[in-house]
Amino acid sequence: MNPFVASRRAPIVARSGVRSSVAVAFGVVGLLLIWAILAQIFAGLRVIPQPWAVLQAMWDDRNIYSGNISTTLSEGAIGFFWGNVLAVALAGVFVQVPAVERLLLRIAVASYCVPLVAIAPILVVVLPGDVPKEALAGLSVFFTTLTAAVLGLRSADRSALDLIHSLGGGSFFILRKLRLLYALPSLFAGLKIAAPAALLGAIIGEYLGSSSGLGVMLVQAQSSFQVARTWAVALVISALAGLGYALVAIIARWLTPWAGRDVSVGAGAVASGAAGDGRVRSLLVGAVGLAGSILLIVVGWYAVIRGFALDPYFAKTPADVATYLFAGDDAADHRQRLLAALGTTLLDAGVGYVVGLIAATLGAAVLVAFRRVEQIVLPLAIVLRSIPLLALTPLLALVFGRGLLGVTIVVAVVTFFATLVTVSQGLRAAPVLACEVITSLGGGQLTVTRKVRLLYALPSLFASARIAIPGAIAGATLAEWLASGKGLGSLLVSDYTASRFAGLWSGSVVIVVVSVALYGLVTALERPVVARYAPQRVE
Amino acid sequence: MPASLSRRAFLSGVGGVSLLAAGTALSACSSSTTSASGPAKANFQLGWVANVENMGLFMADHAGYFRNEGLDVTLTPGGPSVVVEPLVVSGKALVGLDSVDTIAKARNEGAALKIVAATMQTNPTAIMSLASAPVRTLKDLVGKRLGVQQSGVEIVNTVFKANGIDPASVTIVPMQFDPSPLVAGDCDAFMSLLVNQPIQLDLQGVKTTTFTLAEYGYNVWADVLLVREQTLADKDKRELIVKIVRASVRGWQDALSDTDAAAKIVVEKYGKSLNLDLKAQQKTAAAFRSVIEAGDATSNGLLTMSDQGIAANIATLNSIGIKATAGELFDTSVLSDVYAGKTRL
Repeated sequence: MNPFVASRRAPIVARSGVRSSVAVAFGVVGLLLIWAILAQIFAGLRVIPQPWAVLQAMWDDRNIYSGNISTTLSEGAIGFFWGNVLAVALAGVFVQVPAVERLLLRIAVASYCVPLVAIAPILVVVLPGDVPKEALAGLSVFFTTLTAAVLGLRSADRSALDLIHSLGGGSFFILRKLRLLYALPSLFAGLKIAAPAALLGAIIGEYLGSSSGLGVMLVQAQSSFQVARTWAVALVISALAGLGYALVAIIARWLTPWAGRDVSVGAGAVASGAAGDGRVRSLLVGAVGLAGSILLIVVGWYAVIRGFALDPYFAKTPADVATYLFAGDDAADHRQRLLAALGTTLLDAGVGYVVGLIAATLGAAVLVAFRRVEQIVLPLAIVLRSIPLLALTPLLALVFGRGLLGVTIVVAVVTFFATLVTVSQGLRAAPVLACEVITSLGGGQLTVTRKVRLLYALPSLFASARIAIPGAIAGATLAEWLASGKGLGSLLVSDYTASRFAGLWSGSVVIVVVSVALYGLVTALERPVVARYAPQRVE
Repeated sequence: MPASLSRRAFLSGVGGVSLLAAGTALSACSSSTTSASGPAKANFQLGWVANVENMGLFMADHAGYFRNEGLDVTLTPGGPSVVVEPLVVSGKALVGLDSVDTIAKARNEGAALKIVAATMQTNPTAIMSLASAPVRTLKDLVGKRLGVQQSGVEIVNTVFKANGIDPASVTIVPMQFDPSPLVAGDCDAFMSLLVNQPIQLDLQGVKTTTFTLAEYGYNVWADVLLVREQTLADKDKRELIVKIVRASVRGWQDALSDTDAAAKIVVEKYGKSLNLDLKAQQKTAAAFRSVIEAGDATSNGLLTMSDQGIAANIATLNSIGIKATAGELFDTSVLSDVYAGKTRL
């Protein structure tokens, strides 16, 4: 279990580096070929430009890219930095003081799934200049990194923890020496997801209004039916997202050469909790935590509105939401309207999540079994993930329709990448010894994956679910707004465009409450399952 | 000091609601500040990315009309998710641009806003279809798929009802500002702006057929200048608005007198980071003239809000189910001060 053993394997890395660049080249050429053929077939529709037309558009805009890229990159980088710093710091606090986690975790989940249309007006009014865009970039990475960091900090091997304890090491010592070391692989997996996400967040921020940036270029190109330019900008965004991902991956490989290769670290255990306590007590602790979280949210909510003296026309208080839902004359109508929309959204999110989960798990299994495939599939996944859905959805809707299938595809695109990265990292965490036992008995890589790795990946499957399920709801609302015109996503945007902020805020509260509840459900399911299949990881 | 004076006058004006006063005083600093030296800073929130839609305002900046009024105006570009009304209500923007119906809805939800000038005298909302499969009238839409932005769904449904068409007989397809779904056949008609998408498509070789919703009773002004009520209640701040509107009128006069030149300045200066297509912008700019230099603006001067025009707006609002009265929603006194009896500046 010595992480430093792996550094002797450096030459192999170098050799596979050459092979992998061949694989990448192969993948790129294949993609270009498929693209050109598709563009030819569907030329009449004028939605897919030829690759050379896109190249031409890039070349024509060569004098403006540097300025727009630097605008967007700086917004994304600032958001990436602060979002991650806060997330890692909070993760450290969570692991050291579980009571804080019980109070704040739900709020962190809420920060991940609160609809943009609800908070955007607050952000632009409260924050100066470009800060709203940076804040949106930061918000896009905060929760995923928090989850990854907590997971990592908890993944320290039980026996190693015991050993340090028995040698007299205190909890803070353990945090520093052991947990941080063990946390790195998982943290880097989270940061890899965060890099494209921060960029997307910045671009979404630019949709609020900006004088330069890739998001503005995209809006301008789309609204002017400049299809080749739209694709060019989208590809540049994807390339930047991919570069961000690669940069994190390189740093990760450099700092944690042992991760995901030979040694079992990585995807580990579950949220803390009163695991060892009695049932009654754990229920009590849970109830107190829940009440505390709600109290904190309500107090914080009022504090922001009062502190910045936000106008009651667009900044609704918890009391306004309660009135809208329960006390006003039309409260019953309001509830009925929201619940009907919620039903649609849950169906959309559920189907999309399951499809995304299956696709990503299969994808991850193939990635781990055939490492070369990773060099082709992963960049594709990053590209998919990093094209703003506002630009991608019209195309997806055209191909897959605007019904459940189209919505499912959008949700699956949203959840696929995070699940793929987390699960493949979990699959790799299987102990080498167990894998070798299978291979020595004549089993192939797929058998290894089936018999050993999937079992060891269970914790990361749950970890990914905790990110992907709120993500699926966010994706469903987005797809409903952009493609189907049904469900909460569509309802919220129509409330927003009509200045019906009470409806908008109430709908947002419903989304947040449901997402947090589902998150809690996943956590509750996780503990017994992981305890059964990966007992060494439960603290 | 003018700054503290105006602040105090301002506070006493709204002293009844202490909470609101504290907030507005706080944010007042960000939207406009007057200091003994230097020009007064003001933030003007636009609705869309920099292009010829706002060429009059860019010309006002370019020609120094804002500066001549002693103003340092920042023209802040908007985008698809821009939040104009909250920015104006909170004081982060002194002036904003939006359409009359949106502002009326915000007012009905408690936003203390007023409209002081109107850029587009004819509503440019148009139903666009491919010339190869034309949809020529509202009735032609029955049984067809109409691509509409979320913000347009309620509008188009009420226009249907007002014209005796069952909204359920038209399939609404959610769209954004990108017209490519129409070209690709994902819908049969597309709700667009007369002065934008049809021109862009034409330049890319796609011929279209259009008709406006104005022909069917939807006639509210677009790109109107909105400010909050407190701003008008404060003498010094109201003077800032008069100056901004005056400079804006001058800018629009310049822009419309030579739209090609105005488009060139927008492309080369204000939309520089976007590599706007000069030819497309010039065609669009010329089209904008037809909706801005229209109606009563030809006789009263640009950005005008005539009594008949206001009455027509109110009638439209009421017909689409939005409560509004002329006196509450519009303030014509700023324009009166700007023009001072003339019709051209």
